Amino acid sequence: MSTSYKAVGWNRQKRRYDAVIAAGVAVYLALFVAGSILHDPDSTIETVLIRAFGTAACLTLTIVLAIGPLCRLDRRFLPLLYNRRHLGVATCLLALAHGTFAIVQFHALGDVNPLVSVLVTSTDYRSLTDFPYQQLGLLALLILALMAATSHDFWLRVLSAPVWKSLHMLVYLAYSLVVAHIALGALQAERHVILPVMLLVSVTVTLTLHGLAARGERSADADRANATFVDVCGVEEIREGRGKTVCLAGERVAVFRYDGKVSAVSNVCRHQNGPLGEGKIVGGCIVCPWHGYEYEPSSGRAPAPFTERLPTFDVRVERGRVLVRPTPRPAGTFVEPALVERGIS
Amino acid sequence: MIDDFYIGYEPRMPDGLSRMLRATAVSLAMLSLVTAGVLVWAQERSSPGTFHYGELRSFSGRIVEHPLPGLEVARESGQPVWHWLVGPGKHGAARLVAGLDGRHVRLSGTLVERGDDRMIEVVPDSITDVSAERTPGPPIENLGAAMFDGEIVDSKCYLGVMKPGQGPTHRDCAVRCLLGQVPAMLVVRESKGVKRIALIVSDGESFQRMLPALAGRPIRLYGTLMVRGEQSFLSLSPIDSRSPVR
Repeated sequence: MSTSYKAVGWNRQKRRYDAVIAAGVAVYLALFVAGSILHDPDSTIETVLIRAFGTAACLTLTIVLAIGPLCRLDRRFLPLLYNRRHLGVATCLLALAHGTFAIVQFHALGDVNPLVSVLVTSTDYRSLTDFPYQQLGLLALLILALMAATSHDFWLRVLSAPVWKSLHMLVYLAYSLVVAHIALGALQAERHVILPVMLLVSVTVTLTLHGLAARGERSADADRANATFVDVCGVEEIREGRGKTVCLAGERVAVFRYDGKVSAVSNVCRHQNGPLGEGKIVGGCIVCPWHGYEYEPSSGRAPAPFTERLPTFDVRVERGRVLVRPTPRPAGTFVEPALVERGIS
Repeated sequence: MIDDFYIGYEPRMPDGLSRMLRATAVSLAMLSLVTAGVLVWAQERSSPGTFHYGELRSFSGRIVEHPLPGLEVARESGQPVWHWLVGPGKHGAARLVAGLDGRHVRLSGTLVERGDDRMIEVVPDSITDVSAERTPGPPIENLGAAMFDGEIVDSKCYLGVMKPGQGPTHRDCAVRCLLGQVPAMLVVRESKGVKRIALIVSDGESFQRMLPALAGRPIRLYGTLMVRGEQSFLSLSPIDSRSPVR
């Protein structure tokens, strides 16, 4: 969170995060290249590099997609999410290296421009075995490049949060294209059964984690009618300084307890739609667990000089129960916090 | 209850979270290493061909322009050795040797070898010492109609320039090479091993343009088998045509 443009706001954790990514990728590539040369002495370095970069990109993309649902299932994974975009950019760079080597190897030095060659050489879209799988990979690479180029918060402000979020949800399309690219390409030429099994494991892990996270959130959402005030939970269910996420009339609401008071705001952070209900009150402000964006709980306003605002909700505390009106107030509207009755801990 | 709330910009991570993340990082590292090992172990072995990239050599011999460009490299003893000729990149050598049929020349190029097959990637403008007289090559013998099941490949990649030089992942490259006039080959798997037959199109320009699109997949080809010296050619025509076998 910053009021001025900075390429990367480096800190110790971010450096360590990136160092681990760089070391992991370097070790993977080194092991893959050395192993390939030893295991298959007739291989060529270009092909080995294409495979090393491609498999590394697929692996990191699977990890990127797993981080989100893992955080929903267990909050202790949240520090992985804070710098997830760095892993995403690394994935894009690996995919770019894979694509560049492949295009040069298979399409350069011919009778047409290499990029044109990718698009016009194979066009049998009706055949699964002859499908132009390289075009799928190229499209996935373009999506990853677009995401990497717009991963900075600068673009979040320029594009607005809904547009930016929609753009970055294309990662699921990119992943689908990558899976199809592998299944219709490399796996057509390989015979060992372990290779399709590994791809299947990647897809299964991704789908299962997302399914489990979605099911957990659905089961936590009580089916509450659009009444005047809805009983959402007991005061004692919310730890001091922390929040609880409830679903009212289809909208997620974050209810916070702090300093003997209770306030309710929209659960959706204006930064990247982070789950504010999993945040914490620090210095009198709600802090988003994803990237640390801050909001005053009673008004939903980010502290000056920031300008983000959240919708707020009317809230009452009666006989130890928290009651919230499902209709949101306009973003940034001050709502008097409900006082917690004495004797409730 | 331990309060492990932490935001990435804070200077110090709670110990519990730190331990958890270290364990996660180690687990992911182990997963990555196992993945790399399994992928390396499970992938198909490469073909034995060799492209002597970076080793420019000088060759002298007699140019054969038809039906496909080649160089009969003279040896001090025994029969001359046949070398296919191709140009740089995804291009054939037809233009480089045009009008030189039967002439003795010296040229520079990079050797490609696979089994008994040899090929030279000719450096353009390196053909020198062209003899004045032409020595006719051996006649082309017609062995009659023949049918083969195999895969159409571009000879340059298949013989060792690229790994893999055949199959679906190499198909686009084969198409570009064949469109660039790199000689086409039919790779036929037999019980005794792999037979390689050069493909020529006796007539029908449309079929010649169609040939690249048929590369990289199982196919049955009908044609006329011909031999010139030690080289076999399958002459295709639109009438004989082809039919995929899968």
